[in-house]
Amino acid sequence: MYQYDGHDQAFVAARAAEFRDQVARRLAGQLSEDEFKPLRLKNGLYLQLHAYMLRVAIPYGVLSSGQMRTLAHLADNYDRGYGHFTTRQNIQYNWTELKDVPDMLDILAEAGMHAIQTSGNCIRNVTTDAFAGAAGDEEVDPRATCELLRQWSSLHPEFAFLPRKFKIAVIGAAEDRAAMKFHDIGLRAKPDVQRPRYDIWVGGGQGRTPRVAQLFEADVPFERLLPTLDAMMRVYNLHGRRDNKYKARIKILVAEMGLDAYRDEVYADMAERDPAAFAVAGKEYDRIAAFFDRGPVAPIDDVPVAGEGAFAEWLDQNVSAHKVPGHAVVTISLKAKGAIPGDATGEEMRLVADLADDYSAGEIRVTHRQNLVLPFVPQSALATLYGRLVEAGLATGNVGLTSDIISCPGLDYCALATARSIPIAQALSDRLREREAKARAAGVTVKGPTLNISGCINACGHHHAANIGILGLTKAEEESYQITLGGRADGGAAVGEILGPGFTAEEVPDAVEKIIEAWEANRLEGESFTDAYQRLGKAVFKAAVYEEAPRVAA
Amino acid sequence: MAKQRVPKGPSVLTANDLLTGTIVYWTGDDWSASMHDALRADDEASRAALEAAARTEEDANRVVGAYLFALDPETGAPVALRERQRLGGPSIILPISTPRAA
Ligand code: SF4
Repeated sequence: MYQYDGHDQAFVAARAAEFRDQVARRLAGQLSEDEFKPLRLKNGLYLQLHAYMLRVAIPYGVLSSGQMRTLAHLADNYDRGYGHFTTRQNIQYNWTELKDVPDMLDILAEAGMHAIQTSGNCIRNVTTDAFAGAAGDEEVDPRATCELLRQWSSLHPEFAFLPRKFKIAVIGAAEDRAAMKFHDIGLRAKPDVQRPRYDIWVGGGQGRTPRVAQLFEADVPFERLLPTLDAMMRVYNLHGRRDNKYKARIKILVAEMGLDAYRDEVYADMAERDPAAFAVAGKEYDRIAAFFDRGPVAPIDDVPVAGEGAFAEWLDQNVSAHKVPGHAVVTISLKAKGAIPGDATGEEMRLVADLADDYSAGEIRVTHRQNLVLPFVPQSALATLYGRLVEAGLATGNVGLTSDIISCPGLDYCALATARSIPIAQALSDRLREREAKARAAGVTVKGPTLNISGCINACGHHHAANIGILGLTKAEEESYQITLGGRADGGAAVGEILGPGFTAEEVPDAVEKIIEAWEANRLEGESFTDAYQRLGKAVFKAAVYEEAPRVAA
Repeated sequence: MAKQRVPKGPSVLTANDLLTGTIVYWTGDDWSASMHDALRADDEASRAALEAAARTEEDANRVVGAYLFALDPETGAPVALRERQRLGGPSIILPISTPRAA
């Protein structure tokens, strides 16, 4: 893992001390809420429906076991015993008290963590493939690029007041496990002679105007990466709309300017600047990459692992190929039947930390699908590891199945929500786990559609990017759920299409089941949901859902 | 704070407690976590009094984001979905933790 140096450490400690002073002044009445709000948001502190929520950054989703224990300690001592892992690979504490937050930030700083740039109109935590440095299909380890971008974007004075928040994702394999094309800027690192080269994508995003990113430039050599990103940010900073927050993201700018005009302006901006300003980036990249290149595990003999029943399902779904022989990548599902997606108790976090120490070189990852990953597990330890997960109730073998639901906190917590998402996820997961058990017993191995739920149009639950997306809305002061079909977050990224009129909460599980049944009845041998959807079109699914019981438009 | 529209019918004043963020309702001289204790305003003058209390209490840094919301004249329940969820929420069973012995 990358280690903070003394400079980083001193900085986060100083920042925590600064916030302690700001909180003290707020509590003493020296700062009004209008003055304090931007300060707390700069430190990841939101006021939600029922309490303050602290969002802690997990840089590119990588945690050491010690950091995970720190997160568990915060959950147990400053929250109600749990935390929520988000689609941006961060963690949120739902029940924090204002007076406690400075202590929480101090504890985080000691563990090399913070909550800076988890909110506000700045470059947010860079996200990546949760299997980075471990995936069997990896071409370039994206973590060194992520860390370089973290250093470049952290408190970048020019980009502290952007028109709107800005999200960057980096991948280093052909398979996109980070929804890269749904980011303001997406990078795919590819191998090159000395350092990687990059495909740069721009203008993706979700929210009320979902867009798949467009290719800005392919095969950009490393030397031009930061100069290009810097210029891309500068042109956005200059022309991005500040008069209307719904039109302020770069996706709107690129759509309004046109990609070619935007690109021309970026190149013109670059031409005016001295690329020597970034000359040091190469050396810094090499220094960072050295942390990762050493790799915590060495090749050993491959061990065949096979099992029966639930263990076999877990091996099939939750265990992935590793780039180092003799090892495996293990995903721990936080989506047990009826569970709240992404929630983990302090006790569970500590157990995962222990498992990481025992079987995964002390390292853990957070996935954008709200699961946890042990990235460096020897194949010979899989059975023992599984046994310990079973004891803890964390052995659900459903990663990549439909019951592996993404859900945002929705109206149970979030001040912006228009409907609840968690109860919908729970009801669906009960139903889906039963279907999955039956399918498995019948020997059916086709992966089901992905299913994501958001509690409002902001789309933190990535519903646009799901094969089956659910969006909760308020209609006439009741919850109404809109279903979209055909979205994809992988390399073939696509935005889902609205199926038809909305559903009540009670109707959603039946509707989803009918959609899945329509796919099962009509699919060709081994055909995925999205392929079937593309071939068949919406009508087949619409008929399956709406025709039995004609509905009044919502 | 963001300007909220003052409801026309019966309403109560709510906010979040400054220290804890807990949802609170104005009783007429203090804040309570229970809406049962809330002072209900049925006419324009009493709604204006609640509005005034909202500003005073915010300025005194006791609460954050104070605003009035509408009640159903018959049932006395909040009209808005959001207020009903604030009142009853979270509607889910929260995960619990049993910290292991040190
Ligand atoms: S999608 Fe909406 S409801 Fe869900 S977390 Fe984001 S802002 Fe809140």
